[in-house]
Amino acid sequence: MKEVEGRRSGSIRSQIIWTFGLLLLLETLVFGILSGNLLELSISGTNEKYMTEFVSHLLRVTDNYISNLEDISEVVTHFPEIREFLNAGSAADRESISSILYSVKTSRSDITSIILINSEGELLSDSTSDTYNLSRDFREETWYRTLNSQNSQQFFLTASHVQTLIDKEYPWVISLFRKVGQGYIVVDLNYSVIEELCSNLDIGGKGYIFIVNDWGEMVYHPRIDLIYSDLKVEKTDQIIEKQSGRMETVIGGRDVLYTFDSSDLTGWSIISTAYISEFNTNLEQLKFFQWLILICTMMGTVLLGMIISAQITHPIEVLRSSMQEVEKGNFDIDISLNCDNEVSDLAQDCDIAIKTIKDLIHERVREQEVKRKHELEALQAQINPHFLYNTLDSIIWLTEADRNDDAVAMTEQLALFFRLSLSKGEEFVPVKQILDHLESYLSIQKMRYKTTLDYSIDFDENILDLYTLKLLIQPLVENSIYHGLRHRKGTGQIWISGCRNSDEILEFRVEDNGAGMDPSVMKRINSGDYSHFSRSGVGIRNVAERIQLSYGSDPFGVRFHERNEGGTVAIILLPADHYTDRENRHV
Amino acid sequence: MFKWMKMRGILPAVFFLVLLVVFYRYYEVIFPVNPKRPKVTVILKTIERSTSFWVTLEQGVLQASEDFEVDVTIKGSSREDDIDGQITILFDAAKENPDAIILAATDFERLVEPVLEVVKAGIPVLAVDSFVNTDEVSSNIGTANFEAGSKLATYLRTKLPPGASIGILSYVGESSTAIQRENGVRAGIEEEFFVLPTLYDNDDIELRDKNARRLLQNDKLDAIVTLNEFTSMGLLNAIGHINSPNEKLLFTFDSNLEIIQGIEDGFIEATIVQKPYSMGYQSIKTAVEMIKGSIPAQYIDTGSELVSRENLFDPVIQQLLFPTGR
Repeated sequence: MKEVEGRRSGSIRSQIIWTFGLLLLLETLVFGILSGNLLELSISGTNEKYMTEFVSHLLRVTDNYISNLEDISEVVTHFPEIREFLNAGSAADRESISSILYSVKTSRSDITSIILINSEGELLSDSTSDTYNLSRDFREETWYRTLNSQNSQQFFLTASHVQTLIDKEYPWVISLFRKVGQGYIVVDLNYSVIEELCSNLDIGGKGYIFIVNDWGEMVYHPRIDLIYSDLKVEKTDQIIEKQSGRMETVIGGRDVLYTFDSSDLTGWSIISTAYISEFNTNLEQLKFFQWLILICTMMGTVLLGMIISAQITHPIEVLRSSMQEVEKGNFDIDISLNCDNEVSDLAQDCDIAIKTIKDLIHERVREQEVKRKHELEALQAQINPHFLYNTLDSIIWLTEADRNDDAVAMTEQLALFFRLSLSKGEEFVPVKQILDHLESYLSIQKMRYKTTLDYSIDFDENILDLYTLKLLIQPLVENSIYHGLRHRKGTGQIWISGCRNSDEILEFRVEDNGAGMDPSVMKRINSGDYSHFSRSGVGIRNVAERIQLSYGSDPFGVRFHERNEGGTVAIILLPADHYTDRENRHV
Repeated sequence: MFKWMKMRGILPAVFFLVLLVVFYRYYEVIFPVNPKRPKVTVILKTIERSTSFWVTLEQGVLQASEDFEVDVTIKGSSREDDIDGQITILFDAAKENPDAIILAATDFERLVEPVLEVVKAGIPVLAVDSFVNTDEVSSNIGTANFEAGSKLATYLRTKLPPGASIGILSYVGESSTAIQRENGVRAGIEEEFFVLPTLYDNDDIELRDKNARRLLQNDKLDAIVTLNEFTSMGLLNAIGHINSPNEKLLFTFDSNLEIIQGIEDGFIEATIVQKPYSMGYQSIKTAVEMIKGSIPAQYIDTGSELVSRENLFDPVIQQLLFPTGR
């Protein structure tokens, strides 16, 4: 038998916990990783889409803005004075042209200046007080060459630069150059509108937007000073090459994501720069909470599993240990479980079974005690002192009368009688032995009573090998002699017979022609009431009870009848079997 | 079931381990590292913003304070020559116990003792633009003046034949920047040219203008080199006063509108521009890195550019000459 020590590896409980625990762990890990990745995919997908749309939207806005400015320069050319100045030259009224330009300029906050350059190389701005910087030949400038080249464009847009056309003024502007007839119109923009466009839109965290032109020059950058001071570098080359799309790169030691798009109209590329670590923060938080919830759920489930499995297995364990107590022979336990399920039903059944077993054992022990007591009583009955005195007296009398042979015979019979009575302590003896016993007893009595007693013993041959309880018939014979025959005149006759009543039943009869039994006494005896019996009656009660203990009652037992010719018949019914083993006889 | 299952408590241990791993993985998400913003005090030579140099340097400081999330306090006495005033301001600033002090020293020698005292009190001091004569300063951020001087000298050599005579106008003889610039210039030209003894003005306007006129009126002189904005302006003033055609080649230091105009118009050959924005920005950056635990370099060169007519309109140069001021 295995030791039951707490939870074993094979116990139901640990199997439940382990199986579900591992299953849950696996599920949690798979689900956690999978959903984390899905989350990341969907978020970065959304982010990507958002960024791309955002940039292309901004691009449309700037395109609109620039074409709007182009329109302004177009409007200016519709003034005849301006047209004249641009084509012919100095004849025009400079002051009125300046005031037109000034009014156009002031109509918008984002225009720093409007400058006209005519075919003669003369300059005219929106302010008459301006003098012009002629130390630098504008014909060598990129804008001039571009506008006059073969595939000339409608206009030329500079990057962020310092406007040097006007003396002593060095504003940072973005300039729009446009060729009108033989002259040129220059519209200088300050950054206000572009800066507003780029900086007011929140792209999250420290992300920012910058603009480069197709030469790779900065049009707008919120940290332009750092760029020019070489304290910050943007990877513009690759952006210009790719025109539009996304790019992950490292700027200043941090992972950034460029999302960019280019305009055909302006040649500008708008780049949104997002720090990957920043837009991952939310995702990380989401992921963390997802894991936290998963793990808490998992732990909770396992805990619940532990509790439930404990509720199932604890009663079983209690039951088990109780049963072990029972195995050790301790029936004095009370299996009561504090629960209300199938196991408690089982425990109740066990409890009932144990109590029944306990009762049976008690019953059995009591029966054994009674049997021993009766056996002893039967033996005591045999050692009837009167019988012994009388027999011994007879032996003395025979010896004194020199009838030594008779004395010897009688002594021999007495010895045989006692030996068979004891029968080596066996409770069950062959019928043959019972026959011998009766013979020795009756021969002794015959010697004593001589002619006043006569007897016959008639046992069927086929019952001699059967086994049955000893000392059943002799007490009845003794009863017949002492109560039936002793007070009778004339010869008292005893007939003893034994035969198979049926296959299973053995029947012994003891008949006498004595005084007979009081019918009321007989009735009481037959109904099992031995209360008013004298000492000698103990023999009959003893016989009846021993039969009952050994074989049970009905049909077995002893019964008395009145004999038709006077006297009594005692009939003993016993099972006909061959077994000596006491245990098997109970069947 | 399995043998290893016999180890009781392994399942809770595994769960605990998983929990631990998750917490470790997401520690910074749950408890974002939100360090206290470092406090840095910047003491400039003056709070006067008469020259664009300090305006631009301050812009660099402010931009860096935003980028590196630093609380910056900018201080300075009203006059650049108020050395005692700066010393008082330095001690006052130290009492507020900032994480670092960035100092543009008004005097190379006289601020040594106060700086040592502050450093001893546990407040690291960084020098920007103008340094202090001690190794106890954590880092010196500014123009490598010797190199800047020799850069000017190298350009000068391409403009004059060997044997030409050259005069130098300097400001304070005791100033570290002045000494290094002069040495840089001299080292580059002394072998091939005749260099006059340097004239110092000690930040005195009258002396400055007198010195400038003296050199301009020296007929034998082929070129004049000035070593800072102040002396350069003296030279330009003197040219205006003399009102006579100038045939001498002029090489200057620092820039302002007049100097740029001079270059554009061609009567100044070249000027050396420093990078005050970079100085301001890098001084804060270095201070922050140092507060966070790294050991800064003893000298950080913020660089300088030689500006002549040829590169006047390069965007990078334009950025230096005309700070966007946005």
